[in-house]
Amino acid sequence: MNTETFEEQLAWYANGTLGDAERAEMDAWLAEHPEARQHLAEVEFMQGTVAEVAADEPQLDPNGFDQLMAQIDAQEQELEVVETSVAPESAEEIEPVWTGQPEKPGFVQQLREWFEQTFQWSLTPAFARVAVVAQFALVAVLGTALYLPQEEAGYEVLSGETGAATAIEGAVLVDLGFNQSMTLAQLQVLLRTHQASIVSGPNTLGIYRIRLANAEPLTALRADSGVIYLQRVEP
Amino acid sequence: MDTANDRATEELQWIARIAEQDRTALKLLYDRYAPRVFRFVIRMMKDEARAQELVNDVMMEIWKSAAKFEGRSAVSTWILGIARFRTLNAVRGYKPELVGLDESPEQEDHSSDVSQVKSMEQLRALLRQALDRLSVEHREVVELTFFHGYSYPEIAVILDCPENTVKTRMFHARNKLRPWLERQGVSATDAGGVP
Repeated sequence: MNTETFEEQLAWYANGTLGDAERAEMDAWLAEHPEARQHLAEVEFMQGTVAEVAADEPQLDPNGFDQLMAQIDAQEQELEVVETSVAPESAEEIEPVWTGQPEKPGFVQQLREWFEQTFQWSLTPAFARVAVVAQFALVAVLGTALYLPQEEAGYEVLSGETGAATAIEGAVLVDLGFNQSMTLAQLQVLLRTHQASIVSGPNTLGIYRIRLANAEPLTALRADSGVIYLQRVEP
Repeated sequence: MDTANDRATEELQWIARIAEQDRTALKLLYDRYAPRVFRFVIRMMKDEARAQELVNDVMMEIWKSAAKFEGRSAVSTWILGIARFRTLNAVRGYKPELVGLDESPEQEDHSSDVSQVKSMEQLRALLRQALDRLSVEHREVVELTFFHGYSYPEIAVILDCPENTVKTRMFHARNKLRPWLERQGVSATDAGGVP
């Protein structure tokens, strides 16, 4: 090794990480070069200074690990939501409405097929198609208007009753309709919060049948801005 | 659990458990390494709040990627490598006080006079100021060598650069500080070194 190489390695000689052979060579070089010992002293002074923790240096937050656990919990929850949206466990119940990519044909598609099969739609003259569609549209609008009367509280109790909740094996069944702007993640949070599970649905009006552990969450569900319909199911 | 080999073996076991989402193992690793990672980061960027965040970023990355750890380097080297990578990303756009290689310390530090420096503690405080003014590249080599006690091959792994680059950076860092040390009157005797 030449002088420059020795000089370069002084720092690791000082911190004790040189290999045996390198250390032996360094010992010999230092013995022969008094000026190098001065440089070693400087390096050792640097080492002592760097290794020393000054009194005013910031310390690691003692709650750091708890914060880390909270971060991990949050990320795992997010991941769970994403995985569910990609491959839901109960795809038949959740995916058709909330992902916007239903596996089954949509209502319009089903209606079109029904028209085709019932009226031989492709053979029907255009003016007749318009008349039939207009009639169905009128019926649908009137029916919907009657079925979904004015609402002001953000949800609607379709039955209008306030009696004891329907219980099946100790649970309560309710029909729920959700605001269209509600996301899948919000729906899942809502269901988890109230320990609810989807029994069936959605029907063509987007109503789900939900099972609750008991009647206690009904008040909170009514107050939830994401719930627009709520009806207890009678036994 | 005294020897370095025992510690390394223990840490490998922790990583294997972390790969299986064992939070107890993560806690053990955190207790051993979070203070070191914090010290490394805080000395690089002097931002306590950000340093606290970066420590958890590093630990989160370990949590997520433990299953991919192949043991090609020591656990400690791997962790400091992650810390260093994240710190460099964090300091991009963040301009600490840096000193160029060709700048003389005499031009920038007029705060002290050797005749007024009385104690070793004063000397150390002044040297710390000078160290803080080194570039990030030089400071990290100095920190990893003198605070964390890594060998130059280990530092090369952490910094992902050739060993010669590590040596060169240390050499430049020392040259940068030497005139300052001489000006402050740090001699072999003052420093407690070989007379």
